[in-house]
Amino acid sequence: MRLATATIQRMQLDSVLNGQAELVRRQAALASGNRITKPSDDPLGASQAREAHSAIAANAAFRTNQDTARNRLGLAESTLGSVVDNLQGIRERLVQAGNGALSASERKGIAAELRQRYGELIGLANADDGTGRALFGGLSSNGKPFSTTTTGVAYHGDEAVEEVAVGPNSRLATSASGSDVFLRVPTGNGVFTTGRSPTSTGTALADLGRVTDAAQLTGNDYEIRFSVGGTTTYHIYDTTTHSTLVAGVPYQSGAAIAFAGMTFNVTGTPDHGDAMTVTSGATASMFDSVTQAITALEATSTTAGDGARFNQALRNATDLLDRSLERVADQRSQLGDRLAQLDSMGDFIDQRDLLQKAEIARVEDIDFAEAISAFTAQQTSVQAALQSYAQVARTNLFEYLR
Amino acid sequence: MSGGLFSVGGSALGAAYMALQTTSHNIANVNTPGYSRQTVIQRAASSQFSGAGSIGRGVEVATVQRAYSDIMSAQADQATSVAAQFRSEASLMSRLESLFGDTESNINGTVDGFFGALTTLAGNSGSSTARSAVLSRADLMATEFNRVGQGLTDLANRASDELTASVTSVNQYTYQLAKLNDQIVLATGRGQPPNDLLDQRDQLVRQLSQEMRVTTNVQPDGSLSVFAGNGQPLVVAGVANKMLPMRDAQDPSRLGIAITAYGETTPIGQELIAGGKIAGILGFANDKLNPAANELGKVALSIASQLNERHAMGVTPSGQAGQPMFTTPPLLASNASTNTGNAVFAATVEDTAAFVASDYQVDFDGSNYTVTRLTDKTVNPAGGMPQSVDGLTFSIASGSMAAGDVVTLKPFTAAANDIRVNLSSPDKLALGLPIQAKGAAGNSGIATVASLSVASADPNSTASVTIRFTGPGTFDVTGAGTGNPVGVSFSADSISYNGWTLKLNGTPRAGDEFTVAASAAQPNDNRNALALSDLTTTRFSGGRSPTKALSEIVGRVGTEAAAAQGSATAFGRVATSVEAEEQSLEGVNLDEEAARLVQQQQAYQAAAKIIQTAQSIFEEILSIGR
Repeated sequence: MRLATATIQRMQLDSVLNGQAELVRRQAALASGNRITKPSDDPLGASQAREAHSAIAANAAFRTNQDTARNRLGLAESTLGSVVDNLQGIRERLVQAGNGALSASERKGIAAELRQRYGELIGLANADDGTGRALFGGLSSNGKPFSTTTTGVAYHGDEAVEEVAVGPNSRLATSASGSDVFLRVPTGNGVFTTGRSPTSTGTALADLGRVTDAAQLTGNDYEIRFSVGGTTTYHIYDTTTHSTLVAGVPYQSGAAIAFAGMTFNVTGTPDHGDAMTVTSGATASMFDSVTQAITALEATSTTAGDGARFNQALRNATDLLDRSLERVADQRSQLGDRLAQLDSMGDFIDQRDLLQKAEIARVEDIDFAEAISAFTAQQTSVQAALQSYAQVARTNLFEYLR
Repeated sequence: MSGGLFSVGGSALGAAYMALQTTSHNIANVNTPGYSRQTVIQRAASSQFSGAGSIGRGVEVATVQRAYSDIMSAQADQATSVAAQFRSEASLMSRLESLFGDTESNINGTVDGFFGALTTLAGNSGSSTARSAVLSRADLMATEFNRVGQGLTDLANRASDELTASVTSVNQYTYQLAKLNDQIVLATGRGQPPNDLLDQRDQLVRQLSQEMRVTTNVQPDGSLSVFAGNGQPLVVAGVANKMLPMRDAQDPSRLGIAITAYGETTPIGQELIAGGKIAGILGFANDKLNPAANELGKVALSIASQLNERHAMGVTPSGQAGQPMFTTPPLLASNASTNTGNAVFAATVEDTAAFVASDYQVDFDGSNYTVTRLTDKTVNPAGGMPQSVDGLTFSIASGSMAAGDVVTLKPFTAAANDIRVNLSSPDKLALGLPIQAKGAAGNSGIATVASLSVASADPNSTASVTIRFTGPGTFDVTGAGTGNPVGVSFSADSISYNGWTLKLNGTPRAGDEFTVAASAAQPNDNRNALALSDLTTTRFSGGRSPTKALSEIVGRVGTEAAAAQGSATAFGRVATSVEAEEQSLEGVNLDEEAARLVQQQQAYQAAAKIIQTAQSIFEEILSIGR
């Protein structure tokens, strides 16, 4: 083909200029180590890389929250550990108080010590995280959630617990609710509670009892009412439905009384009109166990009935204390579970981070070996274009017509 | 006797000189754009008859011809026209994609930063630092939306300016073409083609083609008629009709062009402009830029609406309901130039997940309004106003439409430009919920409140509601908005009324009561903050999470920019090769001209020799007489 001189020059110039532009582009990619400098370099890759960057940014926020959650859960867990120590100390004193040989002043001494421990327990329940935030106050956790009143302990916190986002679609409560830990402790054996009616004067005592058949449980409250006249008999009265279950059963100290899936032993001698109470599914506050024991220890004991009342109160207080210990242990293990969850969620976030970073590297980073060889090849081709340009420019008939 | 020789030699000398002059003219114009090399066409002069046969009388120059092919020229016009279209589109697209930043620093990053700050705040709602961080991150995000939005607006203005400049160039070229037509008609009348004027005219058509694809037609008198679009006359003989930029009559945000001919202005449809810068600018502004602005605005409006809606459910530490976190941008509407009504439209957001990044056209026939989604021309059933379309409800805020009026509504176009943070201080962040659940003091069961959350706004959300258990598995409800049902079965997971959900720990006992009621703000209540930060993974923006939606815009803009760049390169190559082909016929090759120069110099020298011979013959004859 015949070529116009201007076309030859333009084609040669174009090849040099295009080659230089490509060379500079490859150089910039080499210098930044980044394959994508603008979205059109790799639209899909650019879009993927942005999503990966988003995930990494979210991971950073989740890590911050995990640290916060770990800190609070750890504090709550160790505080509950102190609560356990405290309750065990109280329980030892209660066992000691059960020793019938103690004098009234010795009992008062134990009561004084219990008061001390009671104050400590309230202090633990009001513990904060070092920034003035109560650990067991739920959502409204500024100030002290528990305060003593004339009727017991009042809770000012919220029942719901603060949750924190620790992973994608994953939330964790950072503490336990104060009302859950301290206020709603099931009494007795956890299902029903036996006791003496306040008007009883005899020496009859009921033990903890147990559930023999959960299917027969009614959830109703009952009274075992004694009649003493020749032989001692009792009848079982349902105080929820106001009906008599059985009547005229002969009483024998230490024999099991069983009905409605429950069984317990009554020992001692009841007076006529005495009654034992059976309450289903009741709850009490952990603090009550201590105050009940203190009240019992400080009461004056003169008659045999007083002694039985004291023993029954001490036993009920000890039962409640045992339930409280179970409750706290249960809550501690929940907090421990959450700490473990937090660790595995931390691992998950780390792995996710690694994967996302690998994804970014795969999409964005250049392969240096390949990029350097491409750069060198381009350099050679630009040099060739320049040299040939000079050669061709000299190849001209006018050069020879001299 | 020697007169014949003188005459033959003279004609040869003249022809050789003309050829030399033409070759020199070619050499002189080796770099003149649009120049076609010229050749002297010579022929033998008519011979003289004698008894001995016909005797040659030398040479004569028939014409000076330019090497030209109208087919090749037309092909090159078209190729350069298409190349110019994609070049201008690619250059505008590369500006568009640079607005969305590189992979490190970009609008996605600010959105991630904002939601990250919200997540961190939800984990530490009491921290004033975390509160301030959310507001400053929100500000950064809004500013970044504004920056990109403003950049898109600037690009639209730039495209409009480039269109005006292009149209001005078109008018200059057509004016010069008309002038040249006059001169060429005059020159052609004298019998010989005015080669250099023709070259100039072809070059003007080439330049015109770069601005806008045209079709041409040579008239018998030598004048060139130039047509745009589907036959609108740009140049006829000595008359040039003016082009002007003219926006779409129904939707003034769409760029367009029009031609004024015979006193009448007619718009030329974008689809009729098949090449040239103007086609590139119109394609970019109307088909690439506008959708990108709508997509971005969709994300901005979704974020603002969703966060505002959720924030309003919350309560600030001082007990105030959450104010809007962001100002939502006003609805843009453009009236057709023919409208006679004065309706002012408003839009309310119903469901951001149903958003479609589109403009909407409202037609009124006197009784019914028809709303059309412009991206795919989906028509909403005709009816009265307000009408709900794609998660938005359009209504007429004031005034009214006249029959035949057309209004284009743009809910998203400028949304990114106008998003602002509305909260003035960190204290105004509503991170808690204004309700609280409590078990009654006399409850004997172990059940306690595990959580109380609000999923949706409800007029009765803060009404006092009492749940009274009649057994471990059933409860009665009393309170406004609940319908006071009795004997509701409690399936151990949750209880939901009035937009809230209550969850309990443990089993309740008959007679236990729980109350959900309005409460004072709780100092460390982070329930609304959690709900706000959960939005980061919620697919609320047209079915996408906000960052996913933004990544998709980037992917799309990148794909379009890459395609435009690819087309620009490919069609640039086509244009170069077609032009090279054309030049191979029309262009000057200096080696060839050098060869011709030698050849013609020899012819000239030979012709001079003829005259010298004639002279010496004449001298011989004179010397006879001496």
